[in-house]
Amino acid sequence: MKVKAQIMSKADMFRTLKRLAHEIIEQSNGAKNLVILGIQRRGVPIGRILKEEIDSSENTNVPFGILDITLYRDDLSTIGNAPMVNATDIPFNLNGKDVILVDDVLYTGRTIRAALDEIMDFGRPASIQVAVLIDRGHRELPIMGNYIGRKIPTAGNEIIEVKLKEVDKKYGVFIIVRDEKPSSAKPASKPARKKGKTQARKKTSKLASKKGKTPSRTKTKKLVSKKAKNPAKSKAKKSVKKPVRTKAKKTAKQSVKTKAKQSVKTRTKKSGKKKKK
Amino acid sequence: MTVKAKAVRHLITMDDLTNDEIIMILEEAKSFKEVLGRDIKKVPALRGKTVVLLFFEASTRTKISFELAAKRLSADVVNFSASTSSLKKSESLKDTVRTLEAMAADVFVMRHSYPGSAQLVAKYIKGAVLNGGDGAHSHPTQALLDMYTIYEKKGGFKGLKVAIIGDIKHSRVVRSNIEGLTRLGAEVVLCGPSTLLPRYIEKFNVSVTYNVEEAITDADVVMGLRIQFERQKQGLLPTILEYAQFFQINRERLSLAKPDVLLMHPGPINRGVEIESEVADSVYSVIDEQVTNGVAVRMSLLYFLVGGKDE
Repeated sequence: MKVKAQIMSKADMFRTLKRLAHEIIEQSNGAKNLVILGIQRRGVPIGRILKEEIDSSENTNVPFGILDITLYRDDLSTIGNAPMVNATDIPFNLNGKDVILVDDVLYTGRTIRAALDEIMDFGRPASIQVAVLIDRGHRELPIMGNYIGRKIPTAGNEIIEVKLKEVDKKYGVFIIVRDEKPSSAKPASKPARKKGKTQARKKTSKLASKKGKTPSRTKTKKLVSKKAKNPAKSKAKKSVKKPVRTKAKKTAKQSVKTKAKQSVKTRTKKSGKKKKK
Repeated sequence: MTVKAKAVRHLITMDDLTNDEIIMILEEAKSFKEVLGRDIKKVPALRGKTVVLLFFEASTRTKISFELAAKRLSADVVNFSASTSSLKKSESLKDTVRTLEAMAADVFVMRHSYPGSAQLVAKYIKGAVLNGGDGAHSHPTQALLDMYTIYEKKGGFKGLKVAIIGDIKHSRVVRSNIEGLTRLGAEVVLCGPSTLLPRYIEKFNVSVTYNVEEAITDADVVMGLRIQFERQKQGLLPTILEYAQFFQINRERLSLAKPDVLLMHPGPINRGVEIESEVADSVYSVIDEQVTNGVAVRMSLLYFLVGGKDE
């Protein structure tokens, strides 16, 4: 694993989140019926930042809850060991509310799918919208982000790492390139994400490395070299005024562009699904 | 591509879990307890798994607790009752469990009056075996839920004094509790009449006393054990009344413990025998909470042992 580039500084992150908060207020009629749910783990501090920005701007107190989607994951019956469960805490009623679901990176869309299912078990909100700091593409489900901080096209072997003080002791957004060595091939990154805590499950890393299989690596390599010439240009500038509509268009465009590549990728990296960074 | 399945894990005694794993199961149990507080008390984590409850001995709370835990994780539950089964047609235990396994069960929760029966069954089948109590040997899930109750209230185990009072000899709960609690740094004191204290029990890294006041003094946790009338035919106690007089946990004796003492009991309680009725309903008592926590801890355990892919 090596850091390819830092895409956002702390100041960039807060500026972007401020913009997102105001987009949310604009679209939600002054935040009157809003509730915010942060997805464990990095969606929680990001959600709090959005809440504080909305609160101070609108002089209100938006209810804030925490959602852990582990028990709703769609890969529980395909991965070797059960992943760590974190706390869910939604101390208010969701019925009839406009829910803003917050996460750090939007990737395959599987996390959001799980979150939608879990929210439905808590009640029947009037609407659910998704706010993320980074959209890195590669969707595997028909899911979109409504409020997107920055769109960053990535290659399959790249990871977006969002660092937040509450979890990582510092702020910043980085592009990380995965090693080509078999030992740390794709699936291994999952346990790594949950540092420390999963160590008790000894078999995890061993099993995970077995899953990283060779053919997928050669294919993703090609993709990298294509994309590397055209590194992470930010499309954020375009997306300020009318977030919802422009986003949708762009997503469609992008999905056409990358459709062929994606189909190769999804076939070759089944085990790595749902990995975000 | 094939995903390598994880090795099947059994839980026969507390030895089958490392200290880190115990703490992790207890930590995660908090999240499962939150699930139990929702309107829809069900998560899809174990969809498609089948849990067989093999109870060869009477049980209320362990069986229902496991059944609820499995159902709230969306597993399918099959109840096996020894009295209406082919065991009555003299089918052996081994053949019975293999028949059940042939119907594609993933988990066997087993209670049997013979010590070591769960271990035996684990040898013959591919699924995971969870011991729900085997004779006077071991009852690890009860220990885990007792430990969770302590963990939730006290935040840890280091340096806690836990007094366990009653029928030590016949109690499988106490053996599993001793193992778990001492491994995580609690000090365990056992107390009971000499006829109900097995020889060499102090080898388990516990202290033993015949004086109930001494056991309770400065304790952080006082755990009563049931006098098992069904196992009292050998004349180990002169009379129940005499036992109550010398060993009952009553208000006066409990006042010797720390002011924030937890009073626990694995149930079922004989009110007025090992615990004074009034004390069992006092503010110190967490006996009902133990039952609630039992479901959460068993969910956490099932998720830990059989969540993820199996063969």
